[in-house]
Amino acid sequence: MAADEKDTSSGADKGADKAADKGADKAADKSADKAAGKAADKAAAEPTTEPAEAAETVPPILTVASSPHVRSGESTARIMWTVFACLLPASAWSVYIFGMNAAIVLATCTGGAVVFEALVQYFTKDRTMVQDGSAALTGLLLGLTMPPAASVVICLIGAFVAVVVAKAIFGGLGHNPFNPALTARVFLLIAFPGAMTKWPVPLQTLAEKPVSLYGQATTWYSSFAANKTLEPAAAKTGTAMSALADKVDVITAATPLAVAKEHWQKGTGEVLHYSDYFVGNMPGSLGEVSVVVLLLGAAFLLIKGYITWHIPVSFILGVVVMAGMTHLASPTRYMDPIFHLVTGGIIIGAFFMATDYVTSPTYPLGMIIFGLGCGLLTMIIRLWAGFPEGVSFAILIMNAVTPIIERYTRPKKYGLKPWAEPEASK
Amino acid sequence: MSLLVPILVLSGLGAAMGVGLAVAAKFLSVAEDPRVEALVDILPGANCGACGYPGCSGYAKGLVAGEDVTLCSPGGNATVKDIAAILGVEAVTVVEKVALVKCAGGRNVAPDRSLYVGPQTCRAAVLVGFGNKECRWGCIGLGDCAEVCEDDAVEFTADGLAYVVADACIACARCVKACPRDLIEMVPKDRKVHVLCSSHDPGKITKNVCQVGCIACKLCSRRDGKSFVIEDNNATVLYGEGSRDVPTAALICTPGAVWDANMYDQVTWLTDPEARVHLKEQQAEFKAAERAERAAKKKKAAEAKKAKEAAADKAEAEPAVGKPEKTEEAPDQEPEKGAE
Amino acid sequence: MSVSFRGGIHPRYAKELASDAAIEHLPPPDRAIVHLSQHIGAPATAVVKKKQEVKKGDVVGEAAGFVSVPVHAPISGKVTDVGLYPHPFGSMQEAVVIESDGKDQWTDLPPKAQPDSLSGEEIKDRIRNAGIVGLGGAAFPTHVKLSPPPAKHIDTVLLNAAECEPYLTADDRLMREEPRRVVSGFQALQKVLGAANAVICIEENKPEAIGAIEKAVSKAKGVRVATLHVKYPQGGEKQLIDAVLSREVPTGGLPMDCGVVVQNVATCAAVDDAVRFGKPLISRVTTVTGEGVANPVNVVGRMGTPVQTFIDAAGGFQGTPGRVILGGPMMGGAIHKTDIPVIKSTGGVLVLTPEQLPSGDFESCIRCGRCVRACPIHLCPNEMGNYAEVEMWEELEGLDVNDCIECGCCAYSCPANRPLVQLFRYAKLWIRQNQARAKTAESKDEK
Repeated sequence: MAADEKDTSSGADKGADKAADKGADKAADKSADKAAGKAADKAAAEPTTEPAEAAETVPPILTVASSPHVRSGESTARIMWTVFACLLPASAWSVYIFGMNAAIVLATCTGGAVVFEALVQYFTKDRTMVQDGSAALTGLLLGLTMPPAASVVICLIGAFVAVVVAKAIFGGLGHNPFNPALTARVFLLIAFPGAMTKWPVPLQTLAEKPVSLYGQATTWYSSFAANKTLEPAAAKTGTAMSALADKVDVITAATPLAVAKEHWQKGTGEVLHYSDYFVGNMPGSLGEVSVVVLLLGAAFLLIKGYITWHIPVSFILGVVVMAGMTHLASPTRYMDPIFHLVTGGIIIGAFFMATDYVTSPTYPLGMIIFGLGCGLLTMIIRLWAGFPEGVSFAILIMNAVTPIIERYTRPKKYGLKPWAEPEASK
Repeated sequence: MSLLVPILVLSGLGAAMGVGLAVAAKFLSVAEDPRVEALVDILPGANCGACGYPGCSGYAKGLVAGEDVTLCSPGGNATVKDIAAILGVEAVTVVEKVALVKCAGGRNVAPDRSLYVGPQTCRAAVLVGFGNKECRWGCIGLGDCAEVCEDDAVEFTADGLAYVVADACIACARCVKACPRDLIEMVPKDRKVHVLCSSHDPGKITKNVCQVGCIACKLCSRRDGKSFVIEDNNATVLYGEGSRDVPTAALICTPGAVWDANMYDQVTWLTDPEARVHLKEQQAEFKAAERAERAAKKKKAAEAKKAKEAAADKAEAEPAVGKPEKTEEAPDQEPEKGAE
Repeated sequence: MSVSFRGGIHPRYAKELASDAAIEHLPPPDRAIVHLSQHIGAPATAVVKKKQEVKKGDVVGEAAGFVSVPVHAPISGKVTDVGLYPHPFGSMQEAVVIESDGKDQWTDLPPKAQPDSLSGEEIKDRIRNAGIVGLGGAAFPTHVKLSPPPAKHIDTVLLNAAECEPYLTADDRLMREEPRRVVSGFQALQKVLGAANAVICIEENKPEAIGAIEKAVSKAKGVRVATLHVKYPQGGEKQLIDAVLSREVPTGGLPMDCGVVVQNVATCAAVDDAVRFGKPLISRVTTVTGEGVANPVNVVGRMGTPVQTFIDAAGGFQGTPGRVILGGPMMGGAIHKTDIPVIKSTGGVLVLTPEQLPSGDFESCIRCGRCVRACPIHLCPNEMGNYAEVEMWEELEGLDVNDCIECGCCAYSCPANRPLVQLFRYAKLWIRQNQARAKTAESKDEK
């Protein structure tokens, strides 16, 4: 710019007027004009619209962002709904085993969780979205830990505790320290011990021949339509038990674990057959009863990489080691590892509960420690503590120590391998 | 009867604990200078950290330890007086300041060159390709400054330009630290003339990226070198000793980088295109007036010279005859002030 | 038998878009904006003035110091300006603008030579004078890489022919079409370093290139070919050295700290030109690809040509373009406008459509651990991302964020779409600033 070259710094010191008078008038005029000429053309021309080469075609507006510019396509919602889908076979099976009551429990827990999450989203104007599926998943998992005879009210209270108390108040998805479904389940167990330990006998046990889901549904509906009350959808057969079934609300029995506890405490008691346990033909909570179907869902998750082998394998290992040692020590008092694996919530716990991303460690060594801890604690509670089932408590306790586990099991970074120059090449 | 014992027990416990607390308060208390409490009372309580201490109580403790009494910017001179009174020292007058965003480049005058996708904060946006504005020095408008302002003093124009509402600003200087382009400066509250540009690009580049950017033509610094200085292609207003609000600065700055708050209020200046049009008119008039004045002065000087020469000649030749002196005077022109 | 490293991802490669396009040569541009800062190290200093006539290959900017290289005129013509011009990285930098005279005349070049007849030092001089920098993207001056301190003994030199970035096929085509040039250049580098072992490392997804290179080295002694498992970022030099030699570059160190030097395919081809013909680096192979251009191509373009010319050579935009990236999609930088000139490190021009691009919204970390499994440096991107979001710099330093190579595997895998690489860049910047501030405070205290 011409103005830059004519540096009248001495004039500037003496003040504006003097500078103008000192003969810099010409320069000032010229420079002002020059500055005006070039800048004013551009600047004064369009005060509101953008300048630049508007005469030619406008180039497209590109977006810029930090690298990387591609993504794997994985999203939180997809993960949650996939896990949800993998639990549906187990849910369907539990409905088959326990009838419409089970369906009501599952629907209430899932639906309730979704509704509460939607309310949280509404009141907090949070980024949490019901669509991301985590509430539905939490609800379904909660439902699968409930006994089939649980009432709607209890289910709703559970859903509330799971979504609001165990998740939302900590900051929503990603911020909760404890598994929400298990927190709610334990809360309900302690708040409503009676209702939560009422274990109806599976329908199949009551009937002589297998009862179809369709048969159940029609029986249930027709009795409802006729009497406007809900009656157990027991098939009508000639056995004494089924005859009894027509007259009472529900027939309960002890779960195999409870029986086993009694068994080793007193040296008495009956146990059912393993094949029944494996298939799910035993009293228990909804998710406990279907090992095969659960394993199918879990296999899908493992193959697709949604969960890794670390936690389930180490969980089961912990259980097997503990159960094996005690069984070897005293076979009549302590049940064998297979029994422990197929009864109670170990399968659903190991593959679906303990593997919850938010509350379990993220580093491989940490995951193994976590899983082993869960397995060992489950067995300790089962064998020597007051409750017959220990999975929920074990997982919650391990959730509590997850931050410490994370801190000390960080992976060893690249660049620490020592390098010694080979002698030969020197 | 069965109620009496529990009542007595609990009351006794309560009384014992109360006595314990009283004893502790007397014998285990930490001795604190009583002036600290007095100071905390008169300090503004903004807990802004401008003084460099953690909260007003922190500054109070520092003050009794001998800290400078002028550090509280939100409090201003009133607080300095109160502090001085409590500590028994001399009150010094401080220059009260407010924050000013030294940029007038909203999207309408300083266009974007691309669309930024990513976390919507200024500090994240500048990491990607030096920001998506054509001008690499200007305000990005994603609100890092507003985020830290606890007094809602930062507003935005419709074209994404941040500005500080002086009346709401308590001068805590949090926004100064938050701006990733260091656009915000603390300026004296009573000063009205500012250069709203922080670009260090040479003028020929600046004019292509912003309609109102400083092109470092030096017209302002030539007017008053004590009030304006050109540093690295950018005109900076000096606010210290010897500087003043130069009344004609806005009228001679061709791109319109100088904002005179006496002529236009802040919102009008930053958002109203009419203000710019009006300014251009004022500038043209001012320039014409100055030119005329200079021409007149020149003419007067030339005539005076001529008359002097003629008189000198005359003095040599014919002392008797005298020529009438031309006394054409140019009309007095004052630079017109625009509407306030 | 292919080797690999632990971690990494398997993105969609889309190499088939350009892998069958034979290399074409773009005509010289009418105007070349030659930036003086095209490499790591001090920018070159201009040695030409306005109105000066230059021939192709003339030095327009001299190296400024040891870690610097000269810059040459890519066309013959007249210098019309030396000043600030938009740089591909987004800033304004000094550049020399040359208007073509249409003649495209070479200047006088050094005499031709056979690599065998030159000493290692002579080869290095030719490389430096030719302005050669690492053409894999980092643009580190090659002669500096070839000058390790005497204490660091180099026993192996690796040719990085992994080309692990999706979409890019420049190195692949170069190896298929000019394998001997590549191998000859590589051998010249081996000679300079006096390295006992030379390994050419190619990913398995380039079978034709592997075949061509194997044929070219069959007559060469001491050079072997290693095939790599297809994974990103196999071409990162740390991962390459780990996979091929089972060595780890020490933290904060360089490959020479474990006896290795790594060079890129295009660099070797440029070295061959410099050594044999004395030709300076004024052009290179660039892949112009992506679903956003009509007809992906591999072209040789001169430095200083506008990016738009490359896009036009690929048939122009297909539909509305979303983003134009220089480099690959994992580590490349998006540019604001296409009128900026290309520089030595521009090996790819990638145009993505708006539908392909990820959104800018992200959620909280759900601690799924995908990023941890993907990180090739085995860091903890999940924890680092959370700390970076709340600006806890000390914890980040403790988690070794400075070891991050910004490969993008973590952000790629994240289901919550967290902008991890951007967060880490921000963290590194702040940590550096804090360190600088601490240093000035320390020196002030000392005074």
